[in-house]
Amino acid sequence: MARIFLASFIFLISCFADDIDSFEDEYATSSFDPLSGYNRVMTEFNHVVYQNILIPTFKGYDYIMPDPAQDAISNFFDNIIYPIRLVNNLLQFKFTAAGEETLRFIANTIIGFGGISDVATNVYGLKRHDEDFGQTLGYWGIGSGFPIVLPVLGQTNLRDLIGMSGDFFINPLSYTNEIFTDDSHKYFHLNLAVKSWQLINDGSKDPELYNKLTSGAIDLYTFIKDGYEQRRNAQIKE
Amino acid sequence: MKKIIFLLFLVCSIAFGIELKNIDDTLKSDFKKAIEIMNDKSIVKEQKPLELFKLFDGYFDYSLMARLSLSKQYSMLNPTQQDEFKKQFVANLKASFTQKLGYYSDQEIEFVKGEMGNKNRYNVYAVIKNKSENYPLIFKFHPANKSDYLIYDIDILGVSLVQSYRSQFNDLSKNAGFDEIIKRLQNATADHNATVK
Repeated sequence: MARIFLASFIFLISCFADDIDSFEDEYATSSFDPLSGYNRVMTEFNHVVYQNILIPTFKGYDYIMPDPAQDAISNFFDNIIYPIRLVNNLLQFKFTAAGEETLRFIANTIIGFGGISDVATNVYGLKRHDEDFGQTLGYWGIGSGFPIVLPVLGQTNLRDLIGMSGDFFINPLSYTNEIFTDDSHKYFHLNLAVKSWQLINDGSKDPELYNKLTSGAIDLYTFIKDGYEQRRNAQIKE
Repeated sequence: MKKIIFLLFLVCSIAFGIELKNIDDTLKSDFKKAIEIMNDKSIVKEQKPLELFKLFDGYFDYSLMARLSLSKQYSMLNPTQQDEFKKQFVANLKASFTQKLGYYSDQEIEFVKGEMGNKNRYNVYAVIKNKSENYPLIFKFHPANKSDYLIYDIDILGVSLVQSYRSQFNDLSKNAGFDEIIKRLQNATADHNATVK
């Protein structure tokens, strides 16, 4: 009798033990990381900067700026950088999304008081289609290259770094000095100020987001790197 | 003899799984129950994650998740180490879930569709809804025996939970031994528990 039970037990165990190799293919990833030494140091540096400078700045801004104003500023910047979404949707042959983005821009600019109100989403149900040049390069089949951690800006990879350069040139905020001043060279820092404002305003909507995402990481650098790569791959597939 | 019967009972009770044809209905129903638990003001905040674990524990293959997360390193551990790793892994997973739940208690989860990924995989697609955005979620099932399926991974916004652990353990195990991995897991769990809201 005992043998029968033992045999049944072993049978049950073997049933539960799925062929582990069948899962391995699902999790095959590239481990090419030639800058890992530098990246780890920069991740730690950024962590200190976020904890001591950026997050307190987000919290201070959040304290003095009312939520509706934060939303309005965020909507305004989102509306202004519509060319990035338009161009990258077109480059990925997502014409319906590009059309919807254009309708959003028209609605938010005209009826949404220059973009401060997102009437396109709230009234007309027009969805936003975030696309950037890094995603476009991925869509065209260009691999991520290798991971790079930028000072303050954080995790990226070679493809997305090139993508950032592409987006820089079609981002209207990169021309703030030329549009609003007579001497664009003298006021070059205006562009940086405006982009910093955008970053701080967006960050202040959830000042603890970085800590929420990274608390409990077993290995901070690998956690951020892997999460970034997986998320970007998912965005490219969308 | 009693021990064998007890063990058989234990194995059956831990991993009962869900029949393939019932996965969609079970998850739809359990998502609703989960929202009810989250919105039930008579349940204290600390008790809510425990109630949710009661609901979902039966069809989570924690053992396989632990094994996949440590990848090939797992088979190099002796049985005692494997048990210790599983224990710490599950504690970490649950602490992480509890912590995240504290941050995002105003969200709802909604069933979208279920479909076969391939002949041995079944995926349930859902969305986490909050005021402004929807976040895609995939529950990945595998056949634990002929008819019953268990969850072996969850994708949130395209980020696989198992893959995330796997990458970290893979990097860590290049330079550290088993004791360091356990220590890091314990520290991470403590970190989660310290930041529960």
